Amino acid sequence: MSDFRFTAVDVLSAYSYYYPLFMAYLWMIGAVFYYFRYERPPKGQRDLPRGEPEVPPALDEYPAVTIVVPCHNEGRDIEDTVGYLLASSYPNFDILLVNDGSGDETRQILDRLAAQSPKVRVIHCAANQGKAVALNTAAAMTPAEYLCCIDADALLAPHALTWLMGHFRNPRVGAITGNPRVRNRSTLLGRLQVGEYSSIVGLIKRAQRTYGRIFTVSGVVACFRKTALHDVGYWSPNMLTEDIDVSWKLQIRHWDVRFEPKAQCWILAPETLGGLWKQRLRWSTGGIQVLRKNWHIGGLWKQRRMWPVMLEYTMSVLWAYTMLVVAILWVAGLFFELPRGYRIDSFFSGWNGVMVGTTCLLQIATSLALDARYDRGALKSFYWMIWYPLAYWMLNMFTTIVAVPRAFMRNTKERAKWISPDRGLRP
Amino acid sequence: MNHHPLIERPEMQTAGQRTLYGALTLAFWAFWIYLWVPLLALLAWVLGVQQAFKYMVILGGYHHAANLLGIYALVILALGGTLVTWATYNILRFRGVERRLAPLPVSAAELMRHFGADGAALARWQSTQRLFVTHTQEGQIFRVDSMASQYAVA
Repeated sequence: MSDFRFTAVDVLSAYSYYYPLFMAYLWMIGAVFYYFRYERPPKGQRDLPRGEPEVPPALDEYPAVTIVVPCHNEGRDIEDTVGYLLASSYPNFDILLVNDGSGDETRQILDRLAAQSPKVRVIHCAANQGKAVALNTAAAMTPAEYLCCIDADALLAPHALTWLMGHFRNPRVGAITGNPRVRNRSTLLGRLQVGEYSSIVGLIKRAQRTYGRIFTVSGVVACFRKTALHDVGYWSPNMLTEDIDVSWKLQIRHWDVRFEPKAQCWILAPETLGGLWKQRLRWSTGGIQVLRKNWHIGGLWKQRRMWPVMLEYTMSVLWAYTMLVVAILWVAGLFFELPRGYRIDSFFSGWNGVMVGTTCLLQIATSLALDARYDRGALKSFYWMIWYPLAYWMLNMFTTIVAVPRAFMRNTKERAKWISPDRGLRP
Repeated sequence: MNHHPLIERPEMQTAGQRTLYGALTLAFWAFWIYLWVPLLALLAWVLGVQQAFKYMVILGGYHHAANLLGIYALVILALGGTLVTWATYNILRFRGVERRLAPLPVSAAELMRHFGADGAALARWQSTQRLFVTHTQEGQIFRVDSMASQYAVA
């Protein structure tokens, strides 16, 4: 009988090990299912050369779309961004650039861009208001029913808008997010994030769509139906991650929120540890803010389809603290003789380690198989990061541990004003 | 735009970045290889190494591996099976069925109410190429001014 008695530390230790391990398999299975059900190209287009974009099917109609680009000190990037947007193959769009109180030359550049193209309109905000207010302002300033919101450093692929807009044929679709691909790959951090957007973000989004609800659209590229936004009161100015918040608000009101992996968007990722930490801490704090705001839906039967999304995020927060306790006990055990029930011999003893190593390999291989068509250079980066899922969970642990008290101590009415993040090494 | 969006310029890294990222890469690769030690032991056993034979056979290392793999496979099958069954059930149940009505597009009147503008103002906001917007403390639109359309703003 004594063999089956577990101490609390055994349970914590098991949770810290098994949760990320089994989640990895759940993501892989969900993503593969998604691929065969929704993503696999039709027969004629399966043999396209790697990196060659698949052409979207013709739509019955091409309703007007306003592409909204909030800008805060984006003088360096905005011209490239607008250049890519103007090259979009979607036939019916205009571009609304929102200068959110920039202090650099953004204002002059936006005015010049507007003078050069009748498709470009400009809003100058008198002061920096934050991304949510910039987006809300843009929503009022366009008659279009569809808004495509992208970040000022993001380069939208020519067919992306058509891929995204195809989903709105279903009247219950409120938002669709695209597939961000990391552009800057000069440092280890850049390369890691190339893999992360495939092997973690891409897998999770596909798996969540297989289930039917997603945790968040990517704020860097997402299309919205204005009617749906109006229904939920648009973006919330006090949320640190307005994209997570609006995704939950829409789904709570039973709008469908989707992911379109063929809608690619090239983004800049942080390439310093400080920049990466700040970005992830904001994401993590924002996620917990949203969880805290919506905690009540856990008791509402009408919201039961959101429960698994809520459960998954809650479990990952709990996992971070569990892992912290286990790590502290393990380190303490190296220096002190701990009582029998508190000893942690090793994180990955024996075959458990092989299992973790194999899982990393499988996760990377699955994402590579699913994503290689979209990204010619990804394979080179994957070589550097077989072990990345381990690093991802460590980063996740540290940011969550710091983010929880920050989210709870934050004044719920405090406005979130973002500053442009670290965008890596640039030529 | 003609140029390819990728930026791959590792030579632009500082010496500090090279050292730090090199050390991190090495540490994680070493750790990842460490995870494979039992498999290396199995390989060594196959090749007839004494110590490995002791670990894998006398101490029953491979029994443990077989049991563990069996349990893992069951859990993964249960989790993955539940997700795929749920997804398939929903696809079949809702194929061609939309229980909720398509909502009417948001009207100009509703937009006017929400953004605190009259019809003429909203029409002007939505058709002017360059606007200057002032917000309240709470982030609501307070005042909207049209700007001259030519480029040359101080």
